[in-house]
Amino acid sequence: MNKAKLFFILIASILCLSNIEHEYHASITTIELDTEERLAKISIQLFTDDLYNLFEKRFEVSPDKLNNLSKSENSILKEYLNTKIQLSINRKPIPITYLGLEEGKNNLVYIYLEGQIQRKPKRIDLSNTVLQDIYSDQINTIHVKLNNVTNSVHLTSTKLKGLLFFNSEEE
Amino acid sequence: MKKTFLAILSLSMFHTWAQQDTISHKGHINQNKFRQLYQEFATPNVYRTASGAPGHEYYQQQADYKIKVQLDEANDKLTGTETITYTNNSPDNLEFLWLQLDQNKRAKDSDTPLIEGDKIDTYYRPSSFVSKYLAPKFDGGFNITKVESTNGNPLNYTINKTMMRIDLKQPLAPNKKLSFNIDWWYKINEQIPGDDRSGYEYFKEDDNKSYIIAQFYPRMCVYNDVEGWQNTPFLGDGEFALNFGNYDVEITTPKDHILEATGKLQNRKEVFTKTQLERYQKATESYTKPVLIVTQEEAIENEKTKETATKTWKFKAQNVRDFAFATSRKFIYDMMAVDVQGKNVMAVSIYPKEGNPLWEEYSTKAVKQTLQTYSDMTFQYPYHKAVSVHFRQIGMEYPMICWNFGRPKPDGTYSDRVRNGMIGVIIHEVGHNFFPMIVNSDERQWGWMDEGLNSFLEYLAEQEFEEGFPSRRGPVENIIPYMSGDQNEIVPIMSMADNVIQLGNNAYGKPATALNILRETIMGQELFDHAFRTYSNRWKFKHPTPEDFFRTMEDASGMDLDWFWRGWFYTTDAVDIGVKEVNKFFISQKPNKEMRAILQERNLSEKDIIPLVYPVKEDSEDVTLVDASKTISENSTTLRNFIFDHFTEEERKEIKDPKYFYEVIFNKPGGLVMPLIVKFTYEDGTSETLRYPAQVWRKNDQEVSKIIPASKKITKIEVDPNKETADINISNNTWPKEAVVSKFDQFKQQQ
Repeated sequence: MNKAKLFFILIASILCLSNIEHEYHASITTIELDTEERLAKISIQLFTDDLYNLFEKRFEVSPDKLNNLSKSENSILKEYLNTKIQLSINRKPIPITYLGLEEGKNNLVYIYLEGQIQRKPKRIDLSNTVLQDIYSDQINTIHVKLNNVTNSVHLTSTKLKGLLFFNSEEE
Repeated sequence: MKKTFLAILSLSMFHTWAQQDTISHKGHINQNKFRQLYQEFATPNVYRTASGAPGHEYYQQQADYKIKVQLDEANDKLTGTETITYTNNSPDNLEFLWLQLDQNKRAKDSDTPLIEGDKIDTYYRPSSFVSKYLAPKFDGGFNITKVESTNGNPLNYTINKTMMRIDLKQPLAPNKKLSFNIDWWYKINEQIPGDDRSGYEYFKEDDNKSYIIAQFYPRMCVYNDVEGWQNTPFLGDGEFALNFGNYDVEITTPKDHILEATGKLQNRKEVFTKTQLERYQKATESYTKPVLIVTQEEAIENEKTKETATKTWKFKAQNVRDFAFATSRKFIYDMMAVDVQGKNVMAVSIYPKEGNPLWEEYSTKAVKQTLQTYSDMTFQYPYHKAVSVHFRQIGMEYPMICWNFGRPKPDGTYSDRVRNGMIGVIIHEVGHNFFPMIVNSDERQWGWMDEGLNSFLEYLAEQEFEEGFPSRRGPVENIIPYMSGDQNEIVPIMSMADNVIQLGNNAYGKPATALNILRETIMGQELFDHAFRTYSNRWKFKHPTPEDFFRTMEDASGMDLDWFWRGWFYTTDAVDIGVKEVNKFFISQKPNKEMRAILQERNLSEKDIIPLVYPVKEDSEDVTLVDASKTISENSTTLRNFIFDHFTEEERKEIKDPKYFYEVIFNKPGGLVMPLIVKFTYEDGTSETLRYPAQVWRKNDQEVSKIIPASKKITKIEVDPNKETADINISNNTWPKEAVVSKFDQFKQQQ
């Protein structure tokens, strides 16, 4: 067996130890640019386990229920999201407000945030590094919707920023 | 350089421009998604048949072990001596034998740390930082003190990290056995959470340790018809390929230890107290709840004794692929009897007080559920017991025994998540008894064969344990983030051997979900369960490969599933099926526009042709030719006449007479082929769901159209209404296009 193949097999066998760790780490973020309400409506779908891990590994707290975070746990999350999510519309960064979270079934949890849109979005600069500090293989898929057009980007630890254009002529 | 660049640039521009309007004679290969997997599968042979069963010359090696080990608690040292008897059932002469020395992963010269890439993290926990960069390296490798044939003659051997080769003076001929002895010792490591499958945990409060001991003896590698010697080195993370065999093991521990291991305890009267024996008897008859063999109060008392005198536990195990044990004076011990299809199997748990109150409540019950659900789906659990051992931050499996996490806070409280995580890991690890302990696939080569199949069954067992249990892997919706993720980061399930660290490696959720979809949507539970049981029983106590699984599932169900395996296991395609267009037609007596054009072209009139039936589109000018409130036979006298002339009154009762003809064009922007599941809702509120088999896509991978006759107006068409297919984009699933209230809007409304 040649060295290269052996090397790859060695690397390939670096799976996580505990069988429980055989998870993939991915999230889906939907940003709806509602020009009528002038809001950027953001919802992030994560796995419940991963959010708990974030609290435990990074902040060393163990919330009992995500639906019912204590005041301090809530502000930890708020501050974390503030530093991990950035959104600029037409080169102007917009402040994002954390609205809350909602536990779904089967280990899914949804985080909601919103920002104000002042003008017709043409250029979107964004970054979402949520959970990339916990999982090096975390992939954050972002779908940005404006009217009937959806543009998407995958953000990873090697691609930290996304840039999307919405051509107004296409509307 | 500049000239060349310009030349290439202009050439490429010219090339691009020239491509636009020219015929290409470039050929292509068969890319049809329904083509059979002949090229991907190994050719059937005498070892593995085309139907996916062991062939008439199938063989597997056998490795029997007679082991004596002693645990030196004061020095965390394990010393052992063994006799290995290896039977060569292959048709080949073996010049040398390969053994695995897994503790050498922790040897000072181990490759494991060398092959890790290093990078500076944002922050470190003090314990990891110190162990990674500052503390002296722990030497936990095997010290081999003797390698001899049974008559006392030393054998020639070579150790290369975690591999040992024994050179034989005479090749081991087919159907011959060879026995030899090895003596060794090693230092037991303090288990690094998340890193080590074995080691000890030190409890400062009562100055005691809990030991989980595995991979503790030099053992045989696998030699088979697919790989020859399977000897990819053990780096700590890729798991194991192991032989079946019989074990005879004696373990000496401090006298006050409580121990559980693989195999049947042979000398219970010597190692149990009278009280423990009585309670044990009770437990073997207790089918409704666990009986405590050692209570928490007794365990707490026992923590203080620190015995130095010893006792020896004797175990025998038939037809197992490995051996492991856990021992500590801290253990609480409970067990109950489980009726597994008429056989009594003991479900056992051992845990220190730190695991309570959670463990006493749930562990043994979770073991019971696993034994029952998994046996239902595969075969009656063939061993006599299944043990769940509490240990911090771990989930690892061995025949009849496994290590599981799930520790409440020091004050005894625990969150739902800790509780559910613990139940999930126990089910998963006990489940591994079935895959790969008994259906013994090569974990290092095809990790998904045990992980994927096990995760799928885990999901079923969790749902049977508790309805609505939050399973992470298995539910169809949960795989969507992965499958719609960055294509640069994911790899097909069946490319394990060639890839590097990527998402795909860890996504056992995908095979688990694929099996779930196969069971619920493609095959149906009855066909699937029968085929899955056939596979499990064919390969029970044998070594299957992925093809054996794929072939057996088809063989036993009569379904051609090559398109499914190809899509889900050999590609990274995702599902995206939608409604492209809907056209409503009426049936007219008079010729429609297209026909009128043809008549005119040929200088004919209506009288010159036979009476025909003409579809007219709702939004076309021809709609004036029909009465939209009438049925098709009322609108078309041609049709009406034909029916009356060719069918009796009785038969006419069965003839349908709809009003509308819908032409629904479905498209498939996603690569994966899936059945087309469509729900039609009518104006009166009724609905029906039609399931078109995946073969609808066989001639056109992009689009298929279906004609739906209807007596009532269709008000809504929805593809995959129950979200069964892992469709990553549901914005094109509905006609008319719905303004769906987004989750965001729903949430905000509630605030």
